[in-house]
Amino acid sequence: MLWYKSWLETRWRFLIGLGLLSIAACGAVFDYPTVLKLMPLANNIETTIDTSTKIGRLVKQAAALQATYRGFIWWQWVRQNLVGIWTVFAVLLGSGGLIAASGSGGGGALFTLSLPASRTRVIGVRAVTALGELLVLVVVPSLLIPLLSPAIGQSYSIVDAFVHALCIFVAGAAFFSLAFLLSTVFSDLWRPLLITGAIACVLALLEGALALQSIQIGIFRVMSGESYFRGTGLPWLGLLASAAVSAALLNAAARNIARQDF
Amino acid sequence: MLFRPNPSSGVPIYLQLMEQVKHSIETGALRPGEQLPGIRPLAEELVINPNTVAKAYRELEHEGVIELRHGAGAFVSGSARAKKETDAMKAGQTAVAATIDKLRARGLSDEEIRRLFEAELAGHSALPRTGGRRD
Amino acid sequence: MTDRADGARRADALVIEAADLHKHYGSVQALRGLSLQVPPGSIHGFLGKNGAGKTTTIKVLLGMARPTSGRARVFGLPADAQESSVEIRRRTGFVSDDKDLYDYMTVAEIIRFTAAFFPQWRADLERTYARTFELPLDRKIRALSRGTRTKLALLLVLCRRAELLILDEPTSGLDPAVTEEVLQTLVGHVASEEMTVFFSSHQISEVDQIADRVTIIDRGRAVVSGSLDDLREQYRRVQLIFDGDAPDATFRAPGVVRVRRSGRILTVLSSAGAERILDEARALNPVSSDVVPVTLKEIFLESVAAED
Repeated sequence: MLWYKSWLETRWRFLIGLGLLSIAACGAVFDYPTVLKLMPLANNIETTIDTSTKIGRLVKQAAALQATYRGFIWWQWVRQNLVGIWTVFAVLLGSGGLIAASGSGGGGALFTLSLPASRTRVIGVRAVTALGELLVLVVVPSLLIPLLSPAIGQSYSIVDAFVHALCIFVAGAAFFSLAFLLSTVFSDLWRPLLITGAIACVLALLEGALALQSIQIGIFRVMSGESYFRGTGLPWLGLLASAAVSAALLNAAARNIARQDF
Repeated sequence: MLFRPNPSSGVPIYLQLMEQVKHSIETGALRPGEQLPGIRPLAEELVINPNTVAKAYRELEHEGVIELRHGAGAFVSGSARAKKETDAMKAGQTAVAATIDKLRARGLSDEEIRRLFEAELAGHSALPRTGGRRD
Repeated sequence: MTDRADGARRADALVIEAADLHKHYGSVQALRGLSLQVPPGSIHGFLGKNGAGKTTTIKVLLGMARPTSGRARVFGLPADAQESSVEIRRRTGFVSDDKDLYDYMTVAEIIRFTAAFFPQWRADLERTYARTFELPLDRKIRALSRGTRTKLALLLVLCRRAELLILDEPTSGLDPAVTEEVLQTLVGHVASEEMTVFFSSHQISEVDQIADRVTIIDRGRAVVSGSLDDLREQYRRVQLIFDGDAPDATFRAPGVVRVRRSGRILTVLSSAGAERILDEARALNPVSSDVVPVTLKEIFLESVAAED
C-alpha cells in the first residue's frame, strides 16, 4: 500500500505534467505547417546574418535546422520544450517526502514511521514511484510525435522518439535526485525546489556560455541527445556520469533518512 | 448495580469494589448462588482496569464471600463462611453506629469522626493519645 | 488473568525495558538517565509535565529517535536497530498526541492502507468499531473533528492484533463523553486480548481510573515508579501539630519525600508508610498527629517539585 500512498501524494503533479507535455507535443506538431510557411523569410535571414560572429553562426544554424521536420522537432520540441518542462516536473516530483510531512501538520510522518516498514523501504517506494511517473512523463508525450505527425503529412521515427526520451530520463534523473536529497534535509517544500531550480538555471547558463566558446559539454546537451541527433552516436559518457551522480545522491538521501531523528 | 468507584479517594479501587460487593450481599441486592458480572463487562461498565476487577474477585474468593467457578464465572458464595462474614458485618455495623452516636454526643462533627476512623484505619496509631486534643 | 506478583518474577519477559536512557537534541537534554519497566498485561500510565520527556521516550521506543546513550528494549528486542525496530512495530500500535494521519486520505482509504501491513487484521473488529465510533467512511481525514480522528486512530491500532499499545496523550483535547468512550474501549479491549497498554497523560484522573502501574517522569528521569495499589498503600501524609512553632526537624526514616513547616504544623510526605516517621516524631513531642492517605495527584505534584 506504500505504492498507492505515493501515487496519491504525487498524482496531481504527475497528471498536470502529463497534460501539459501532451498539449505541448501536439502544439509542436501542429505548429510545423505554420513554420514551413515562414521558411522563405528564414531563408532571407540566412543571407543577411553576419556569420562572422559566434552568435550569428548559431542563429544561422538554428534557422537551417528548422528547415527539416526532424530538425524542427529536435530543436523546438526536444531541446527546449520537453527538456525544460520535464526538468521542472522532475524537481517537483523530487520534493515532498517524510521530512516535509513531519513539518506541517497532517502529513502523517509519525504514522508512517510507526508502521512495520523500514525507512529505506518507505523512501525507496517514494523514489521508484516518482521515477516511474517521470518515465511516463517523458515517453508518452514523446510517442505522441510519431503518432500525430502523419496528420500534417510528416513522419517521425519512433526510435528517435524513444532514444531522446531515454536520454532525457537518464540524464535528467540527476535533477530529480538532487531535489530528492534536499527534501531529506529541509522540512519545507520550497527550499529543495528553489535550490535545485537555481542550480539548473546556473548549469544552463554555464552551458550556454561554454557553447559560445565552442566547448560542447553540459547536462542539457546530454539530455537533448544532441550527439545522437547529429549522428555521432549516443552521449554514453554523459549518460553514465549522470546516472552515477543520481545513484550517489539517492544513496545519500537514504542514509539521511535512516539516521534522522523525528 | 455497582457504582463507579472513586479513583481519587486514596482507597485502592479493588478495595472499594470489594466493599460494594459485600454491601450488595448484605442488603440482599446479591443473593447466595447468584452470578456476579463477568470481569470484562464489569471493567467496561465501570471503566476501570480489568486486572483490578480480577484482583477484587480473587480477594473476595479468598475471604469466602464469592466462588470463582472455572469457565462459568463468579458466584456469590452460599456457604456458611460467607454467612459468617455477613453476620460479622452486621455486628460491626451495630458497633460503628453506637460509636458514632457516642462521638456525636461528645460534640464531634461527622467530618471529624470520619477523619478519626480513616486515621485509625491507616494503621498508624502509635502516638500516645495524651491530652491536648479538642476535648 | 495472571497474578500480578508473578510479573515481578518474570522480569525477563518485560514488554518495555529502558535502562539509563539519555537523549539530547543539540543543547537540550530531553532524557537524563530514564529507566522504565513495563510488565506484560499491565495498563501503564506515564505521567509528567510538558517537556518532561514523555514523547521523547516514546519516540525512542518506536525507533523514531535514537538515544544518545542507554538501552531500550521492546519485547526484548533493541529499539534502536532498524530490523528489530520493524519487528517491534509489527507487534505495536502507536497513536501520536497529534493523532497524526494522512489528511488527504479518506477514512476508508487509511483503514485499507493500514490493514495491508497486518496480515492478521481483525476485519470483524474493524466493522464493529467503525459502527460504534460512527466513522464517516468517505470523508477526508482533514475534515474530521478531533474526537473522530482520535477514534479513527484508535481503530487503526486496535484491529491489528497488537501486543502493545503505545498512546501519547490519547484523550487530550477530547470532551468528557468521547474521553469516556476512548477509555471504555481501551479497557474492554485489554480485558479480552492479551495486551499491554502504555499511555502518557496529563490527566491524573484517568491514570487513577484505568492504570494499574504508573511511572512519573520529571526532567528526563523517572522519579516514581510502581504499581498504583502499592503507591496508594505506601504513600502517607503525616501531620504533626505542636504547642508552639513547629521545630525544624529532619527525619532519618527512608522514603521522606517532603517536609513542610507552617506555623505550629509540621507535615511530612512519606513514600514508605508512616510508622517510622511517627516513631521519630515522638521525640519532638507533638500535641497530636494525623495520618492521611495521599492521592496520585498529590504524589505527582510533590514528586515533580521535590527535585532540585
